[in-house]
Amino acid sequence: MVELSFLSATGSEFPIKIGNVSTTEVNASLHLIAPFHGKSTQAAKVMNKEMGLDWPRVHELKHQGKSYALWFDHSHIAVMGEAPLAKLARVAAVTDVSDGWCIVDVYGRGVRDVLARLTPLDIREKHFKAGMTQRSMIMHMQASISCLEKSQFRLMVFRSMARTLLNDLTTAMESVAARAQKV
Amino acid sequence: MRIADKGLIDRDSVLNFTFNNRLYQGFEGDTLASALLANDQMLIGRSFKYHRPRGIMTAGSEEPNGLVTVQRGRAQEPNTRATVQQLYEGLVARPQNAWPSLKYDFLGINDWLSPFLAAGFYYKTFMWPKAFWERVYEPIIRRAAGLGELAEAYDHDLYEKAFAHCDVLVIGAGPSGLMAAITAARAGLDVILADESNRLGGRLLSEVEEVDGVTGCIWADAILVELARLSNVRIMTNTTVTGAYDQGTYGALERVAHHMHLSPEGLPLETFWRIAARKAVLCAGALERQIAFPNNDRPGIMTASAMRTYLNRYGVSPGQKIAIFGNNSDAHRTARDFVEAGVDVVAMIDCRQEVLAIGNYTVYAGAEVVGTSGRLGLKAVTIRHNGALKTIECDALGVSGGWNPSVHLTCHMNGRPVWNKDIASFVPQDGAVPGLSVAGAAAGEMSTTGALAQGYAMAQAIARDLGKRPKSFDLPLASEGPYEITPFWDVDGKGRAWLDFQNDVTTKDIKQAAQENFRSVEHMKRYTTQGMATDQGKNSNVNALAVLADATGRGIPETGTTTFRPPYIPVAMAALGAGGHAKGFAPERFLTSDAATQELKAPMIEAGLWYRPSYFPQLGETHWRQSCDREAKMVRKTVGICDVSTLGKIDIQGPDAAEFLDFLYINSVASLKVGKVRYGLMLREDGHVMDDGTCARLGEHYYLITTTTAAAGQVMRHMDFVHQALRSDLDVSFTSVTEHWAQFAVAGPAARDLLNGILTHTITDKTFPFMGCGAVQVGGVNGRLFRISFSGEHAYELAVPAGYGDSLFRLLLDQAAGMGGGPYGMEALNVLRIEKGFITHAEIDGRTTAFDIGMAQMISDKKDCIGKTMAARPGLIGPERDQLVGLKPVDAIKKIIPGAHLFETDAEPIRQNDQGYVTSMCYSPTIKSFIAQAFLRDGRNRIGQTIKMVEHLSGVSTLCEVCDPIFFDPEGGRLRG
Repeated sequence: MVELSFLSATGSEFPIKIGNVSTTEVNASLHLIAPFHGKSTQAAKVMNKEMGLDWPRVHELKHQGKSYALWFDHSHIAVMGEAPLAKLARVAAVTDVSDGWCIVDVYGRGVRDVLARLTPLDIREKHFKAGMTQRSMIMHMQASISCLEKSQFRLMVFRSMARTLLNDLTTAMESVAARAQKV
Repeated sequence: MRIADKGLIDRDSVLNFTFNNRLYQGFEGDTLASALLANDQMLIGRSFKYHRPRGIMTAGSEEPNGLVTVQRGRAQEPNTRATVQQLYEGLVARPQNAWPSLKYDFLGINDWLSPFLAAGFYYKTFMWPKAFWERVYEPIIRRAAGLGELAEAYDHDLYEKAFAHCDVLVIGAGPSGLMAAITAARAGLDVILADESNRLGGRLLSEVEEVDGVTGCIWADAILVELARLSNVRIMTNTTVTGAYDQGTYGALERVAHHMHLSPEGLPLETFWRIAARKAVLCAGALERQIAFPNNDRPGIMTASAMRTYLNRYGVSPGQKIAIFGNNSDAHRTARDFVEAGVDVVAMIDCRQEVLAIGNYTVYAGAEVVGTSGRLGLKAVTIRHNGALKTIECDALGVSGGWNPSVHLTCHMNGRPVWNKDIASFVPQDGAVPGLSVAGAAAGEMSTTGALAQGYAMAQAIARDLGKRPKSFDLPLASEGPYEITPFWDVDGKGRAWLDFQNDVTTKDIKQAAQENFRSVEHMKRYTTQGMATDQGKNSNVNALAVLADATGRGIPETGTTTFRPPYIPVAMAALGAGGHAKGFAPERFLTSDAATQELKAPMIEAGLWYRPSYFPQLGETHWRQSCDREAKMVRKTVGICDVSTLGKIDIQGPDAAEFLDFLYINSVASLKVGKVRYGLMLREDGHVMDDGTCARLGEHYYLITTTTAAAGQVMRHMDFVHQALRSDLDVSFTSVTEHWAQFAVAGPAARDLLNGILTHTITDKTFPFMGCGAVQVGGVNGRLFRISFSGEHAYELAVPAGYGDSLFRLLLDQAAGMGGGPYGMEALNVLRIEKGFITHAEIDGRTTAFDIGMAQMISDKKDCIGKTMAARPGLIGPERDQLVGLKPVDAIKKIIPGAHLFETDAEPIRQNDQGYVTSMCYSPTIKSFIAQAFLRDGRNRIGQTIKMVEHLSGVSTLCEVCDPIFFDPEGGRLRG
């Protein structure tokens, strides 16, 4: 009997904690949704009814239990967690990209200092609040960056770049931790 | 020497350090410069050109003389300015540009030869004999040139880049900066206050005058305490704003660990910040300038304000007998402070008539310094007073020629400063940098009271501009006299008078430049190198152009300034490129099969950031060709496994998907049946080939296309452009799924048998015919199977979600091993595809057309597509085009080299006779010959002819037979079988 085993994008042990910032990998079902012409309202209704989530507007992240819906690009939103795929597929292009992205959560008191070393985004608290998502760079990688809580962010880069993400992330975490020790 | 009860240093915290192999002591709060002066070490280094003995001249980042090399373990940092290097326990510094010793420097001989080494001597001296330039002169000059030495070892220091955002960036934390910051902060704005010192306060730390009834230092500390408490304020010490750029972006260099002997692991040495600010206030103060008088460069001669800084901030007197020379009221503050500190002030030499002392010291009014003496340190000055010469013994001379506002950042976007005759200096032009206002001395406001008021006013205006309603509050008053100045630039006299201390440029050099008609300030700068050293003319520009103005009979405003460009201070390349070395250079993309591949010790090659196996060596194989030949034969004979996940995969859905794809591809997609795959070609709008790949129809309105690895991003961008700009009417959506699917080629006569060993449901030629596709299951995981071949063999590509890629690859290898098969790498893949005449981006390199590669007939005449019209242009079709052909050496063991050019056999191999070029080559173990793909003029009509390949770099020449590009199984029976 043939069996295949699953390996996460990083294949690493988590959480990693350096100073007061930690990171852990998120393995979740991830689908990109793009409503067909004139079907946006129906798509939003399906999602609202089945998932209790409003359709996210530009730079918005919606959250209900373990499910998330976030703006992804000019035509797509991303849905994390269980979603009514069959019903959505009637009114939208639904594409499974669950294994295509490396997703990590980064959290802790110094998380915004860590991100300031990785992305050009304005990550000040009042400018990047919980419930916001943006597309930008993490070092050289194009990424999706979302704020889940005041001190918790979700980062997504291509799966193949998982090692680079961990390298960049831990380097920034070490730098921020070292500054705290600086005399 | 140290002065008791003076300075802001911590005398309880003693720090040991080494300079020039000698142990010294200083205190916490010292810079290297102040500590050396406290130890009476006046001689710090040698000048660049004449190797003149030099000492500390300033107390800031503009220091031109006090350059040392700081040793940190294996690393060494040359050209460190002793004036900004914070002292730390164990600091090791050494002088530079001196051999064999600082005291006795061999190249000091240059100083004796100076009459022959004046400005422009290079251009005049090394003209003859011509051959000597490259062989003799240049090597000698290069050996003598340069200041400081690199470690010539790998740089282990960490550097980082970071981003910051704010409403207001306040540049400089002197009186105007502190007032601007507190005003903006109290108004509720997000403020970044950046200052290049480790302690904020600017000139307030160097002066004794009071602000708001307390010393400037105490007032500054009180403001800082309030700023530190506010959550909307970020204070950045040791941070120099280096440049002003578009859209309110500023570069800033933070010296993070330069003051630490042992820093915590992970701490960068420097951080280069990109600060995005809605508004900025430049409060960078002003820099005191010198007066050019004969031999004004001896150790012990410094700016008068630097003297006050060393006294009042560091508790150091640079000498026991102090003289001051100036043309303005400010210079007298130095005399007064030293007298009050109990130091002997022997003379206050003021070139102005009728000036009064503000303390108990002797004033020589209407006098000037006409000479100095002391080889390694100042011993005396000679002054001209009332027509008579007088020599005054002194070991330190403070000079003040007035203050130059630090206008530099306002000029970074091509703004030019304007001349203000009241203060005899250039001041910034309004609006020179959008969003940047200037306050305090940087704006030409030389009084502390005025600076405080300007900082306040600028911040209030910014707050209102940004929608705040700032509350007004009382301004503090400062106790000080007015700033009065009479312009005075240079003293006539015997001996050289230095302007640019770093590049050893004298007044004589400037006058000579003018004489030789280098009258423009820009020409003078380049001819003399004035202002081209690391201080970028901060100490010399205004004086030099005043001398030039005088020499050319013009005024200073008409003479103008040279251009101030970023960075404001020297910035290490490592800081500018922070995060870009080693692993940070570029993202690394790894296949899901990477771990298993590494276990098999396959050498990896990087292709478009992906790391792919070149070949899989087996025991006994000592050369890549052995492995490659074995792998290619294995695929032809049994079965091979290759990870092809790097190919771009784009998921396309929507009612208009077929129409959209028909517009992209040259061939028809709409006619493709569900469950089938078709090869396709895309053109650019100019009619040249952009990419090729396959298109699989997974459902009625559902397609999956593949792209080459190299063009995956380009194709995605192209599709976005076409959809958004050209066919937004089409109801179609597309998403990259390259990373979601791990995809493996299973190729060879035994491919189907292998798959049937692992798939949940058996496949047959009927269920999966050639160019068929569909859903499959493997180990309970849903996958996709495509019967396509890049090897010419009966082959499939099996895809599963990437999380199962590692597992599936190992399973496929196990299965293949039991059948005499195994993995194959990029080398064998290349051999297999060349044997079959398949193309890659070596062939579709952006210059070739569908006609060139023999696919013009694929362009459907039943529909339009991107590039169709342009591909039909005259010149893109016809016998004049280089067309894809195969090549085989006439002598099978002769080499064909990619990149080599083709010529008629009897033609001279020169550019004019060029007939084409080789794109790909391999040794085919099946054909048992080197074979190649090439583009040959009218190639398809020349099959069977002999052509000469010449590779000019290595000189290899090979006669080749022109063949059909398909060398193996031209009927395609094996891939259909």
